[in-house]
Amino acid sequence: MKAPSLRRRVTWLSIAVMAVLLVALAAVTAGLMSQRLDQDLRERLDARAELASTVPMNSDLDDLADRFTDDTIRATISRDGESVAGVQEPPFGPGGPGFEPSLDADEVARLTRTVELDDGTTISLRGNPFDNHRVIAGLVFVEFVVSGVLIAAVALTFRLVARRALAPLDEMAAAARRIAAGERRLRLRPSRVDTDLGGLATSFDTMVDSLDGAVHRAERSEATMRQFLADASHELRNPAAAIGATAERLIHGHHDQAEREALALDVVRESHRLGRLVDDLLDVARLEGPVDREREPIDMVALLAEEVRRGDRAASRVGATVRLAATPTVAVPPVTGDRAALARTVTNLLDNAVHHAPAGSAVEVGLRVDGPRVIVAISNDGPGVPVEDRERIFDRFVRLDEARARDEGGSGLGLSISRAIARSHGGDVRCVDPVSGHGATFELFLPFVNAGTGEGREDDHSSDAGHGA
Amino acid sequence: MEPPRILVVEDEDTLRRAMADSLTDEGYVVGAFADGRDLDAMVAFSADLAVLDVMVPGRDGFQIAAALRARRDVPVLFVTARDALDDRLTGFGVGADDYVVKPVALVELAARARAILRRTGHLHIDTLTVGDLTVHGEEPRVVRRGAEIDVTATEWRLLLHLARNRGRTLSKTQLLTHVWGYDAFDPNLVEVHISALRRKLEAHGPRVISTVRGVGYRLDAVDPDPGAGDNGAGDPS
Repeated sequence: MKAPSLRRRVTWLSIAVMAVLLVALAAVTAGLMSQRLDQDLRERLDARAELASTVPMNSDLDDLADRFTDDTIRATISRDGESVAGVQEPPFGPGGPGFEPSLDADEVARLTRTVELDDGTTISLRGNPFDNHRVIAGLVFVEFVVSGVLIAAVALTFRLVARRALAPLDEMAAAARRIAAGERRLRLRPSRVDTDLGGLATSFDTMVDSLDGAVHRAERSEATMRQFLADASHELRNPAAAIGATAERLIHGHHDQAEREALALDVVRESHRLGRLVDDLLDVARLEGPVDREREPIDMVALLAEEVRRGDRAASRVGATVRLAATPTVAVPPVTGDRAALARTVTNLLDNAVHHAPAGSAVEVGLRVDGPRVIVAISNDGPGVPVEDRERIFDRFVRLDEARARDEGGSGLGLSISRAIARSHGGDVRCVDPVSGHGATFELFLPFVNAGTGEGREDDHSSDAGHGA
Repeated sequence: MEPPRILVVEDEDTLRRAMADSLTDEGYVVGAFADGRDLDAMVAFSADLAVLDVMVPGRDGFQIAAALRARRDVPVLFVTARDALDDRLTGFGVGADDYVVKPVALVELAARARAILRRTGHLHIDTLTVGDLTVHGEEPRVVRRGAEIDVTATEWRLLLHLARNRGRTLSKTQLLTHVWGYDAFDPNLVEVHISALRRKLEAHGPRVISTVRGVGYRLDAVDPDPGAGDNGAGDPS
């Protein structure tokens, strides 16, 4: 890492602060000590000067000088300007004789007491500051040594403590690297969550959980999309292959007029099928995306009546009929939604019912109100849907073998689209037990009050609803 | 020699019809099935090649292939809309000899079928003899009245297609798409190559490729009469 680690920065900072404090402490103690010693020296000088003023006149000068001289004070006795006894100048020095350290005049004046006796003898007492200086220097030296040891000890302690205290950060960093490298199940799971780092680790876990969830969802939706694309290309290739092959036969085959027309008709039919498939695929793609629907109140009774009329016209071509069964006697509140999309749903369900209805039979359409929702039931008299297939048929491109074998030209997307539209309106489409005990019944549920466009479908009705789109 | 027998299983009616017709035109005996249910009939057909769609009702193409090959070693060509790697690997895993993804051109399908049949020894492409003209079926060799004629590969393919349809008029479009494929080419290509072929062929005998005005071209048999041509004198036969 290029930037110094947090641990190192904290350690250095604390060492620096401590060093500054210790230096300040040393300075203060040295200053105070120096002042104290200086005062002490001057008090002794004063005391000795007072004593000197009382010495008898005829004292032995050398003896006198000795008496007044000790380690810190030296006496020089002079008479008429002549030095007669005691230590000669230079009186003190840190080094050997002949070395006079630079004491300025003030300092010399402060540390000199001159007592003039009546007989003209002058006793000059000089205080020695250098011992004091040595003491102070010693003190400072000791203080520096102790400080150094202290700082080293503190630095070491700090390092150990910081290493322990910040170890969870290292763990977190290592965990993050491993998660990034693919160990997506890995979590920190801190033993304590009430500490700062424990809290951080918990947040870290929560974040990874949510990222992992997002990645998982993205992967799942990508897998769904891949499957859808594979299915869609499969479904598109069949009519494309049929169109291409039939056109080739038109070029290379040896046909009479009737055969050529039959082949051309095949091309037309297959291209229509391809077109319908493309439309349905586009619908699916649109429903996959964020749904931005028109929202208006829709009278389902009127919409159903219209669709039944349209469906009946279409059914008459295959010899079936579509009729509206009982309508509720009470007023049906409107549902909110996209009229075209809901009409499309009903159309799909009706077409599907007509497709599988035996010739001459009737497709029954009923509408009833059940609590907060309207239920449209569409039943035919066809072969019905086996119970085990009743959810599967809503998957995309699922056509039951029986339907495939008859090649009924459906895209295999109609039911899937219908269900997606219903769910985007907060409702659902289900294949339920047939009303009359035979045939097939599909029910479209739509809530009257549609709170949102999400997947807010109702799961309270039948037992087999737990199937994701 | 018996014409090779090809089994076709394809659930899309239109496509199955087109494939069966096309292969029949190529001279094969075709047995077509819409689903995988009637395995006994498929086995009874005793095909030399099985052309199978994968997604068919009843029994999928892979299962059909496995079942057929369990009884008799038959080459399999999968024609399917599923092109995921897994599907291809499954296909080759059950012993596919070839695997093509829809949409596939019928001429390509026929070419692949021919290649497999030749490889498995079920098809001996004989040289086609049309009157005094011999067109080699496997390499660009053309012989007329004993004389080797130097043709390009394209001219040979054109002549081979005319020879297979001898006596039948083929339009420029039919010749163009068969020889050059379905992507747009200039129909004049056909004219240019036909006239080159005529020049080379007519150096050894009378005209064999005739123009049917407004329709196309036709290859007719001309009796190998050495006396009829100028250079017939040196013919060893």
